Amino acid sequence: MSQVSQRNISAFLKQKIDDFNVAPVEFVKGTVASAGDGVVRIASLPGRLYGELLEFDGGIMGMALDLDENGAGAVLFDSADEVKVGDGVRGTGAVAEIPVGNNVLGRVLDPIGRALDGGDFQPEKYCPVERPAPSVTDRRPVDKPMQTGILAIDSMIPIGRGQRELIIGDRQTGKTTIAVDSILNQKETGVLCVYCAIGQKASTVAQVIQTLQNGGAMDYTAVVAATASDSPAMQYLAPYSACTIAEYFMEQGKDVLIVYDDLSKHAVAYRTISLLLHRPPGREAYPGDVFYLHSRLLERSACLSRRRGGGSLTALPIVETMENNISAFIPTNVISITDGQIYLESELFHSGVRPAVNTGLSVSRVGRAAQTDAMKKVSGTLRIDLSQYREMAVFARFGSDVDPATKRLLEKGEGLVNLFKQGKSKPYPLSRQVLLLLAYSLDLFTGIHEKEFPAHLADLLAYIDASCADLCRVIDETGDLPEDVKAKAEERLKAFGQRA
Amino acid sequence: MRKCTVTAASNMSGKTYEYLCEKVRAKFGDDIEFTRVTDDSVIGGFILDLNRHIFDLSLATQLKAMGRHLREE
Repeated sequence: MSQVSQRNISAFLKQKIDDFNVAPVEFVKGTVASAGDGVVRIASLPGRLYGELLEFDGGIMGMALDLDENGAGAVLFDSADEVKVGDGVRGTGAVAEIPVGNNVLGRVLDPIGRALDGGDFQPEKYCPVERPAPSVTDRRPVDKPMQTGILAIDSMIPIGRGQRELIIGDRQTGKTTIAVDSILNQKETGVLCVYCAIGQKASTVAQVIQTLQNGGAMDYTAVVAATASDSPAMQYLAPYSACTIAEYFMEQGKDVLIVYDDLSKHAVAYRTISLLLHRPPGREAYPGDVFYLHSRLLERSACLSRRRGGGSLTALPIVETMENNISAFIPTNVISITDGQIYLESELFHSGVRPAVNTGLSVSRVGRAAQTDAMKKVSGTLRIDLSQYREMAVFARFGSDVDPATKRLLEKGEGLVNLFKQGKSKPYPLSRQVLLLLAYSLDLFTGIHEKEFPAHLADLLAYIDASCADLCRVIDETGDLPEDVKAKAEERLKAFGQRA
Repeated sequence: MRKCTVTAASNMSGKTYEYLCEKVRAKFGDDIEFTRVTDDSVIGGFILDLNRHIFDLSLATQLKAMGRHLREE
C-alpha cells in the first residue's frame, strides 16, 4: 500500500475493487450458554480457532480461549454486562490484531488498538497480536549496549540491545522509574520505545505519560495501556499487543526498547481468566501454562541477524515481589526466562540509596559484551569495590577504631555508594558516566560527607561540562577512552580535586 | 418446525419476499416458518438466519469485506 502514489491511486483502487470477490457470507451462530465476570461459555459454535475474535450480538467483541467439540469458552474485551444468556455469537475467522506503523508513536492505545488519548487515529497497517518468536538462525549475539543513563546499571549491570533484563523488587522501590528513565535516555539515539502498562492505576499511567511528555520522549514512544479497571482479557492481551508494535519497528531494522509494567499483574489477570474458565489451578492457583505465558512473550525480544535487517528488541519486564520474596512462583519463572535481573531493595530505597539497586543480587548475563570500550576501561573493579565496602561496613559497625587502610576503603566505598545515587529523570550520557567513574578511581569522592556530596557532585558535573567538553565529545562519538584522552581527563580531574 | 428470520434494511416487496421463501424451502425443506425483521444497519440486501445458520448477503457485510480487501497489501 505504501508504494501507491497520488498518480496511480485511482488505478490501484479500481484494480482492488475489480479483484474483490462479492460472495455471500455463510456461518453458524453460537449461543451464549453462560456469562459472568467477563467470561462466557458458548454452545454450538464448533470449528473455532484458539485466540479467534468472536462477535456477539450488539457488536461486542471477545476472544476464544477454550475450545471443545461443540463450543468455546471466551473472554470479553469490554461491555461484559451487556452479554446475556441466549445471545448469538459468531466467529470472525480472524485473530486479534493491533495497528502498527510510525503513526503509533506518540499515541496511547488500548490492547486492541483503540486510541485512548482522543483525536483521530488512522492505522497504517494491522499485525496479529500473537506471533512466533524469531528462530535461532534469525538471531545474532547481543553485543551493542542499550544505555539506560543510570550509572549503577550501565557500569555494573550493562544491558545489551536485544537482551531481556528483568526489573524486580517490592512495591515503591523505583522499578517504573528505572524503566521510564531508560526510555528518557533514548532521546536522539534512534532507539524507539514502547511502554506497556498492565493492571496499573490509571493515575499512575497518566503520571508516566506526563513524565515522558515532559522529557520529550513521546516523539519516539508508543504507550499501550490496560489499566486496573479494564477487563482481565484486555490486561492479558496488552503485552502481546505492545510487543507486536515493537516487533514491527525491529523488523524495519530499528532498535527498540519495550517496558512491560508489570508481568506479575499480567499473570494475575491470566489466573483470573483461567479460574473463571474452570481450568485446573496449580501452584499459587496459577494455571499450568503460566510459564509459557511469559516465555513466549519474552522470546520475541531478539537481536536480529543482518539478513533479517539487524534490528533489535530489548525488553525490560517488571515484576513486583512481596516482602522481597524473589523465590515466589512468578518471579522465579521470569528470572529463569530473562537474561539477568536488576534487583531493587526496599531497605536501600528507604535509606536513601536511589536507584535502590542491590548489586549483589543483580546480574546481567550478557555482561561486558554489551558495554562500550570506554565503560569497560573505567568500571572493571566497581563490583568488587562495592562488595568489599559492604563487607567491611558490617564489621565497622561494631568497633569505632579501624586501621588507616580499612578507613580509606570505607571512605572510598561510601563515595561510590553516594555516586550511584541518581535523581529521577536525570540520566547521564556515556561521557559523564565515564568521567565520573574516572574521578572515583582518582579518589575524588573519598572522604566527602554524605550531606556535602550532592553539591560536590554538582560542582564536578559543571566542571566537566565547562572543561572537558572536547573529551566528552570523543567518548560519546567513539564509545572509547583512548590513552591520550584518559591522560588528559585524569589531569583535568586532578586539577578539580586540588581546587576542591 | 424450523424458524427462519429474514433481516433487510427496509420492507421487502411481497413478491420478492415470497420468491425468497420459496427458494429457501426448495433448498432446505418445507418445515420452515419465516419471520421478517427490518434493520437499517444492513444497508441493503438481506440476512437469512435459519436455526442459527446465517447466510449474510447484506451490503453492510460486503462493504466491510471490501474495506478489509482494500487495506490488504
